[in-house]
Amino acid sequence: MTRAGTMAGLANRWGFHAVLLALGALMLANLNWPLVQSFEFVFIWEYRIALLKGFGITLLLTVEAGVVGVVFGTLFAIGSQSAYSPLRWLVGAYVEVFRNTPLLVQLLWIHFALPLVTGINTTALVSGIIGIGLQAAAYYTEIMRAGIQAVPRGQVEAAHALGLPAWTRWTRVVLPPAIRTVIPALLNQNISFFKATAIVGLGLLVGDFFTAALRVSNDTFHFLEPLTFAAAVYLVLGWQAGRWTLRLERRLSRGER
Amino acid sequence: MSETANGTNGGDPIIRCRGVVKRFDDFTALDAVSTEVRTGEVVCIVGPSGGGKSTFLRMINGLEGIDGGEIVVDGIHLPGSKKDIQRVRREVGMVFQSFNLFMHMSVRENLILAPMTARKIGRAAADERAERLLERVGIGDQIDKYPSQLSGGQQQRVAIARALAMEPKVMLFDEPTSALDPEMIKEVLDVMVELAESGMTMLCVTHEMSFAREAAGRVLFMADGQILVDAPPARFFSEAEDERQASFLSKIL
Ligand SMILES: Nc1ncnc2c1ncn2[C@@H]1O[C@H](COP(=O)(O)OP(=O)(O)OP(=O)(O)O)[C@@H](O)[C@H]1O
Ligand SMILES: [Mg+2]
Repeated sequence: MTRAGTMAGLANRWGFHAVLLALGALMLANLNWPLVQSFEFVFIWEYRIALLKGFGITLLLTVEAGVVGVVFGTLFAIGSQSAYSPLRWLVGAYVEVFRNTPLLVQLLWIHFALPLVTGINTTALVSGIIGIGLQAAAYYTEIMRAGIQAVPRGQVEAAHALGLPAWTRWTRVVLPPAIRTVIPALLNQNISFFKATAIVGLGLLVGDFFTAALRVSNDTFHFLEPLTFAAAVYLVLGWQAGRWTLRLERRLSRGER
Repeated sequence: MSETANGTNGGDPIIRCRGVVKRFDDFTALDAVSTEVRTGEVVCIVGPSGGGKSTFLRMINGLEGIDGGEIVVDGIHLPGSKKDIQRVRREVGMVFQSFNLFMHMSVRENLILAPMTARKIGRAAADERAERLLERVGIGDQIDKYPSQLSGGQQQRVAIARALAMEPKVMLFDEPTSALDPEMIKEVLDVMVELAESGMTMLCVTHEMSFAREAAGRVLFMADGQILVDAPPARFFSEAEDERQASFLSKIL
């Protein structure tokens, strides 16, 4: 870098800092200080049992999205590689439908419209479990398909040439390296579903963490504290999980054989 | 067997190809190929790039479908059912240019997987077989390593041992030394020569003319999807009976 370039870079950086500082000062000046000082997190403590219960449901939905998503996503991804074209088409249609419609619409459709078709009524939580599971399977199908396609073609051919049964070819030759490559993508996707549980909560009132936080607001007429607290919990957990995933990703790529 | 160990009058035909056709869309890659390979024969396939050598080899174990004619391998007719293809694959080993070892498995796991799952032999017998075959290809001490820890020549020898672990009746080789550094070619060719001398039926696509001269009973020259020449190596390399063969020989010799 030339001397002039360094100077320009420095000036740029100082300019940037100045703008940030000005913006920060503006925000502080306009903060409602009495309100901030009156933060009463005691409400959250009072409702800790309800919030914890809600968090349990959030965790349940998150883990369920991951497990159901990976299991069905893997099966559907295998189907997408089939030589039988109707099966490929069916998997493709499934993926497109569930990835290109909003989760909220899917949830409400499953809870309110599906019973009209099937005659089977489901509770809100069951509808939520089905809905997020179906969408997770669609997203995980795409991830698993990418993983499967990343397995070197030659290894799959060798499996064929050795006469390996299809089951062995998939479970021993194709899926282990495929899953290994997509583990970070799977985890990142699951972090997205962790956040999406709030939509399930609000849409179907399944009593998840976010619904519980909203109930605190409704009961106490305090919106700032419960919503800020909820946001902080999602932020900290999502951020930590993201960092952990990144570390895992680095380790996996370093240990690549 | 009569004449020579790898001579043309080996045993009964184990591979019979009649009018075999392969098309990719409207391009004809194989145009009515007919030939026979007898038990114990070593046949080298040579010819210019794009001539259809790999395609032909891959059709013999069902890696490519057949669009016309038929291939009979050890009495099993192709094209055939999925089951027939599986049966053929169990009898026909294949070695690829790029080794294609299972990179997430140890050498041992590479060698025991197919015998245990496709032949349903027990773990102990599979282990014993793996150890014996690795000794045979000269890398018995590498059994617990991963492929990425081995040189190219060692990997290809593992790939040969992996195919042999199925105890196939025929071995197919598709340019097994083309991806190797020069100093590693010999160690692989030595294994192939030993295999040929042991009486294995072999079909080898190769650019190693020394191997063709030394080990082959017949040389097939393929170009434009046809077998243009079928001759013993001595004659194949001394007198060209086809124009394209002559130009091919002038380039490689
Ligand atoms: N999957 C495929 N789709 C379309 N065309 C193909 C396919 N496989 C092979 N071909 C074509 O068929 C012809 C024969 O290919 P093949 O690989 O059998 O040649 P080859 O003799 O093995 O050549 P090389 O010495 O380069 O390996 C080539 O023209 C090739 O482009
Ligand atoms: Mg080829």
